[in-house]
Amino acid sequence: MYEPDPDLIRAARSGDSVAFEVLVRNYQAHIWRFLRHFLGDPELAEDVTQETFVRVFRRLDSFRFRSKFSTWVFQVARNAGIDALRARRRRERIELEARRTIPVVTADTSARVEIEAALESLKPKHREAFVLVEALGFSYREAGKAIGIPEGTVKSRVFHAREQLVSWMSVREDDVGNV
Amino acid sequence: MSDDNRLLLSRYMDGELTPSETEEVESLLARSPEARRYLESLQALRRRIRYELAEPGPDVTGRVLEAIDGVGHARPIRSRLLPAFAAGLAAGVLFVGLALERPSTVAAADIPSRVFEAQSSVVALDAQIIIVERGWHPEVPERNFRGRLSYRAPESLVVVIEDQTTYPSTDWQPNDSTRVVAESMSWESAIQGCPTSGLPDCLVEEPRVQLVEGREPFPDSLPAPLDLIVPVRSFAGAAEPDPIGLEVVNGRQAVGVEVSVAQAQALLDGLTGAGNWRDFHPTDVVQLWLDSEFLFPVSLRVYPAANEDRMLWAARNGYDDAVSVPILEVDWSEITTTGSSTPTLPDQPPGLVGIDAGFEESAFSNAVLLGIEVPEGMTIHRTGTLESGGPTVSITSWSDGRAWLKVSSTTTWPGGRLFGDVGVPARQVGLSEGVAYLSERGDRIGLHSDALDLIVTGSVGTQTLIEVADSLDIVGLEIPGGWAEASVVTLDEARELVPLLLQPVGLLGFGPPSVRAHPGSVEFAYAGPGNRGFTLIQAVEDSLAPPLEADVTGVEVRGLNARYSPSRGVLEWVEGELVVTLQSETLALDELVIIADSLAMP
Repeated sequence: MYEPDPDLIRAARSGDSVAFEVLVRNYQAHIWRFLRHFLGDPELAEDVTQETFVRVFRRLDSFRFRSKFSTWVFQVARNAGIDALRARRRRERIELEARRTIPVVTADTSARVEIEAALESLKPKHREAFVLVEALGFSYREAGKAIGIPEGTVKSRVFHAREQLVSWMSVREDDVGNV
Repeated sequence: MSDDNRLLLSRYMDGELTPSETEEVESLLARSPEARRYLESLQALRRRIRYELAEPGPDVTGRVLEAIDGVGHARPIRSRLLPAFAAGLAAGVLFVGLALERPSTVAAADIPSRVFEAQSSVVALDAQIIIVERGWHPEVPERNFRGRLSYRAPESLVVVIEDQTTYPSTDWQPNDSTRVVAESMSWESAIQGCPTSGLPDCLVEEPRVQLVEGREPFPDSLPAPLDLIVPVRSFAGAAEPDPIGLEVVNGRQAVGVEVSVAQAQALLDGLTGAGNWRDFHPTDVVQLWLDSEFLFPVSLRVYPAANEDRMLWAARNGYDDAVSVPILEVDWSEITTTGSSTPTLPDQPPGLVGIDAGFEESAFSNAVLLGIEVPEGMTIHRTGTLESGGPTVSITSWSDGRAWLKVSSTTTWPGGRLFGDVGVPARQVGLSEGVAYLSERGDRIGLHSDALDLIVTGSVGTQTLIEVADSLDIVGLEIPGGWAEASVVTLDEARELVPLLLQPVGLLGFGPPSVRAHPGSVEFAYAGPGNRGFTLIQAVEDSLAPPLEADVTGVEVRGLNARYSPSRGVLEWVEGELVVTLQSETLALDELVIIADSLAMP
């Protein structure tokens, strides 16, 4: 994960919009990818990605260089994501409990659609830890800081997510093999 | 297998085990096929996740900047960090020379066309040089040098660099260097380079000194670093470079541009080609200020690029560079262009024994060249015969200031490939009579006939080389089928092999491609200014071969899943019935994606 030079962060904090733009460009894809799976909605993830960076800009003064900047940005993103989920709950009164069944592979055989559907089948708390570690390459410690849970909990959530997805992959391969 | 062991394997894959747990897992893997299968399935899952979910995502930058502007906090200030940051925009991309369309900026826009003309105006150049290099070694984070440069057209040059760094101990050797080219003689004294990881033990106490006599005009090996005088190679054929400004720099009215290290490589080699210097990544950013009249350099800064390829490269090579700090600063001062006709040469080290390169000067007598038409203003520089172990070669050179042209020919070429290192891939070009073969970079053109093989080279631009070749009293033949360059085909022939062939459309900053045909595939080679270039390979296949590297990542191009290997600089994907591959050692991923997106059937 990209870690900016401290001088770049300081420049952005002092109001250098070009420096801040570099930060946005280096993190936006990662943040969007995380939020997309956290929220389960690509369009909402785009809006929340924007909101994340507005919050990052407003709160740059509070970054004390004691943790990795990437971890801090993901904390901001996650908080923005939680706020968005709450707003959506209020608005749509939707039960956000994840679908726990193994997804049925539909006529759309795009590999990406399949893997996204499989991710959707995970419990949100498992998916969140799994995406940070597996897709974005965070260590357990970094993921724990970003989510606000102990390292040990990250370890077990990632493991449970993997167990379910490995099982899904083997079922799918069997299905394909039987066609 | 127990839950505990599966959990252990999960943590093993994440690199989160203690050494004793690692030993335990490796023992488990050695004895349990079930454990190996489980680990393989975890690895397969990771590949799928990283490959298939690696979407670029939306670009929210504009909306964010607009929003924070509304917040009232952002001030559009240009800090001293700005140039490097600006160069790092778009996830560290340097879109130098890759613009598909953009408005013209007068001073910077003129450079690629003016560089040929400007070189003829420079007949003498003297300057002091101040160099600051950063990040060479953790124990020596900054080194300081002073030097002098003295040039007399067309090929006499002295570059002396004196290391003024205070090193931690006498184990470290100063990086002093001297390079002297005086027409048929050249000598160089410098310590040998060695890798950062081996410093200082790998430094040899005595500098290596090499003297060459009987040097042919403008040789390919041990050339005079003429891009240090006017950076022709860096800008010939380039698209409009990114402008920085127009202002007085080091006492000269100068035009500032931003280019990549790959584009400015020949200029940088002129400074750091001898001795022990740090390396730069091809995508690193060079802010270059050129005298606005003569286009010689007056100042340059190299900043680390901020793209992921560069970060990976830095980690591999032990560099810990901050994106905001220049890793090389060079300033030219006390510049004069009116020096005497003879440069002041430094004393040669005593007892130096030279290597005879085999060139003997003689009067112009090559009948083939009697009708040659060289550019106006060019006069014969040196002419003679080269005997260096191979066929006897007759050489004639012309010059006009720093500009030069050379024709080499032989009547005893044994064949197998074109004479004169045209190289593969080459591009066949039609002349008024017969054909010639142009090198990938467009800086040499070869002709083959029954009686004679000939090569035209020079610093004058591709079109001028073609016109010079066309003026010769020789009809170029197509080369025999067994020669190395015979795989070169025309675009129409390539389309017969692969009917739905894609090509970049609207791409600036690269010359026409060389096209080669292989069984079931077609390869285009595109060369840009400096060392910039890429190849585009299209093969009739329906799937990608399994990746060989561990660092492969997923990328979306043209709405399709592609994979990218930073270590090989290869971007590849399946499109229709083709496997399309873009490969470059000098362009970053984002530039390859732009090229990929521009592909179409012309």
